[in-house]
Amino acid sequence: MDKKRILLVDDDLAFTRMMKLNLERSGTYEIRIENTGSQAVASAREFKPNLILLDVIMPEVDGGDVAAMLKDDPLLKDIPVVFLTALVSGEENASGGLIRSGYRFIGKLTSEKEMLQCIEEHLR
Amino acid sequence: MSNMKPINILQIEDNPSEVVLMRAMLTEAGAGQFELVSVDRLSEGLRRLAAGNVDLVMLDLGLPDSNGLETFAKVHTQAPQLPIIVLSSLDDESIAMKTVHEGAQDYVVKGENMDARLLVRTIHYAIERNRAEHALAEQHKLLRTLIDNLPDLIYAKDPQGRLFLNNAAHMRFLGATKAEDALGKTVYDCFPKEIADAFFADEQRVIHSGEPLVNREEASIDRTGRRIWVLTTKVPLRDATGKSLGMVGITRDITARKEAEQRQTMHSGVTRVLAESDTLQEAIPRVMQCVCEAMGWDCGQLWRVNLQTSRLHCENVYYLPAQDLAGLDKASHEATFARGAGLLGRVWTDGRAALVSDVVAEADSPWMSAVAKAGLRQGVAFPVGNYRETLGVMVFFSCTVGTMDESLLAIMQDIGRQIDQFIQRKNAEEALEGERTLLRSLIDSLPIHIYVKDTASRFIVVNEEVARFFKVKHPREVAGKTDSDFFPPDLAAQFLAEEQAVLLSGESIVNREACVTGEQGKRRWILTIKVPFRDNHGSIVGLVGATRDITEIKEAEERLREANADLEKSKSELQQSNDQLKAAQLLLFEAEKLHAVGRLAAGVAHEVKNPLATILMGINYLSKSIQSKDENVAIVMEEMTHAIKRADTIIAGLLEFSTPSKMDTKADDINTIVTRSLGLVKHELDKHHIAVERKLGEHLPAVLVDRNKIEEVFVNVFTNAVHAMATGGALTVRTYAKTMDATRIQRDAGNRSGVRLRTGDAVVVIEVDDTGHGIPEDKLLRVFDPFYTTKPTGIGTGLGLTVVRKILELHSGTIELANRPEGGVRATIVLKADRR
Repeated sequence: MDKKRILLVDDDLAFTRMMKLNLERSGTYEIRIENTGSQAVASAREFKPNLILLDVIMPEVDGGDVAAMLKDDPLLKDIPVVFLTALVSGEENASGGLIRSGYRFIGKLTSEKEMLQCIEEHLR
Repeated sequence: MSNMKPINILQIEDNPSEVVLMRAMLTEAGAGQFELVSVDRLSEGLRRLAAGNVDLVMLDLGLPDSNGLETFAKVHTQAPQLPIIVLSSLDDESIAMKTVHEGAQDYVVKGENMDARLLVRTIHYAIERNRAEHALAEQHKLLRTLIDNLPDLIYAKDPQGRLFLNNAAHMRFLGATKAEDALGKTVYDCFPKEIADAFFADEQRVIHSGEPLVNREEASIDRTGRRIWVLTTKVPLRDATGKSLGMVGITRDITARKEAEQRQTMHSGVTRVLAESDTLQEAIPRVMQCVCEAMGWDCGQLWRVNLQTSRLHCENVYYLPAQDLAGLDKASHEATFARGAGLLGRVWTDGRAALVSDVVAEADSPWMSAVAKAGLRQGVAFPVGNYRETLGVMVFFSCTVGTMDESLLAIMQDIGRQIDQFIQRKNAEEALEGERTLLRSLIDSLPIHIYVKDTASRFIVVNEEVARFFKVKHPREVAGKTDSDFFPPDLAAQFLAEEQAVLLSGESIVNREACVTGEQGKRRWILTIKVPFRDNHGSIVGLVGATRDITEIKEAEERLREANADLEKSKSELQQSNDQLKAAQLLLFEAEKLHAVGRLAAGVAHEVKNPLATILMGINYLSKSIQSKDENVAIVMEEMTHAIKRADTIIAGLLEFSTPSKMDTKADDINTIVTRSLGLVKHELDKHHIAVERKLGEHLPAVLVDRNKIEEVFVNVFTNAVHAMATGGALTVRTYAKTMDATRIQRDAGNRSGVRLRTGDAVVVIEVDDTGHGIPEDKLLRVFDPFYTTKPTGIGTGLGLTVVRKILELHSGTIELANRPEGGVRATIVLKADRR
């Protein structure tokens, strides 16, 4: 069984490394890290992820922009995107997840269990 | 005849035979008729005569103690009233005849045919003739005494006009002392030819026509040349056969009466002239003419005191038309007199009238010499003025000499005073007239109805304003009418009642305001004063009223009240604006605070949460990787995880506090909000005649908004548009949906909320167009600055657009302002469509 590919787009290097360690430890996911918003689309084309975890707030090209660009790309527009945000509180996560403008938002400080559950829900 | 008293006869005869003869004849004639006493000496005879009781003397001229005419003279002197019969002898008959001439009644020639009857007849005739003669003489004497004592001139003239009889008065008039000086003279001997001609003609007419001339007044002159006035009656004189003997004239000197009349005429004439004249210029020549004509004077002049030169200057002259006084006129206009100088100067100084009885003798100046040269002989000068001041001197001259006495001076002095009074009166009248005119024009120009009414409320006098109000040409036309002639019956009755109350009570109506219905049913406010009008005795004889139309004042007051109310309203509106401003300020402050705190919180959350997430991930990884026997390791991991969760909770609380969660957002229809907002500003739109065009798109996506806040945005935008179109215009509101393209997105680098418009976002656009004056390009960027405004103070707070933008930012919306190419401003508001 092939590992599911997840593209993690976030400008925070420490966070992305720590995220990658945790998610790859189970052996079910292959994680690609992209720390620059503007490179996110190119990485996605190359990596062909099954899911993109996208940080909202990044310098210059932010998560919203990346999402819009992905939507405009015929090859990438169907790849599910889950926004990672520091601003969504735990309570919002607990109530079934915050959905805004059609996107699922998940807090960065969400527990591993909930995070994995959310990823599984959105993987194709 | 026996009952008659006997006649006592004294016979003075020295011849005894004659005595006997006489006695015999007398006895023969009738016993007791005569008592005869005979004496033979003259002395004895005279003694007897002195003793009296003698009726007749029979006298023999040749007596022992006297002879001839002497004898008769002595007896006649002794008893002039007694009849004397001279007894004469033949040889002295001529002497006897002389005695008859001297006064004897008769003479008898002794011895010549004398008989008793003849003697008795002679005696009786002598006595009777003597009685008649004496009676005649008495009568003549009486008449003479009478005419000589009459003041009238009495004169008789023969057919040739020669004086043959006159009285003492006429003698005095002629200046004659003896009859011879007067008798035989004609009028040509007594008068200048002109007068004499007239008189002679009169006399001849009376003599030849036989028609008397009765009581004719005529001018004459006396022998000194003084002019006199006489009243003359001339009667023809005829003998018994009708033959003309001439005429008798009676002339009375009425000069005094005539002069008194003249003076009276002059005095009253001057008084009348002064009463009839309007100005001094008109009065002076007429006064001088009147004086000259009444007095028969020839020349009058008025000399006025000239205040600059302090001298008298001749100002007016009057000459009788017949007089040629050119020389005098010239001299008069060349001469001036100082105080006290000459006749005129003296009159000026003394203030008293003065006579010039003889111009020639009193010529003390070239001017007076000119007066004399002009043939003027007499004059009178008098001051024109009063006891305080002499305004001038008036002088009159005459060619003839008349009576000029103290009484004339008094009269002239009075005329001078009258002229002065005239001047004073005219000055006073002029002043009074001026005041009257002023008062009248004042009353007539006042915009107040002023009227005087009698006790029956009939108009007596009204001013022009009343005449205008009553639509009559002249205030006179209102006199005698009442209010009922001009006002409706009920109003007139009301006026009459209140006026009668004033007249009865004597209490005034002062400043009473009333509302009456005037023309075309218009209500007019009038302010009325009605005051009783009293005569000198204090009785009410009418009322004086003043009525003023104060409708305009009332209306002005009303307008003022309205203006005050408006002002109050404006004030409260201003207060409201101020309150709104404060509220807006507060809102802005709150919004700013919220915004700042939100940005801070978002920033902190982001920056803190990322490390926290990293740590949480790390702990998670370690807790699975480290298989330690030490139980404490698991506990440490657990505690650290809890600590991170606790920090996250704190940060979440901070976010809760600062995010737009304070807004009461829900999905709403933008068209509904726009329509509601337009309703909120409908009053303003209507007030400024602004037409509204709605171009609202159909089936627009919902927007997630706080309705109240977004309505506030629209009200602000609409109000700005209204202010830009104060004099009317059109407001167009357009709504439609679209998707954002990249070029229209505004970036906010500091925004950490992550909520903003992005390319591809579905949005609802609201465009608000006005047709106002637009916004200067250089101001466009500043309009969102707090407190910036292009409007006059008091209209806008300068916070509206700032608040608008803040509100829109809270909704992730935008607003832009731009001048439209066709004029006016377009406000474009973009709100994100709700995708949920």
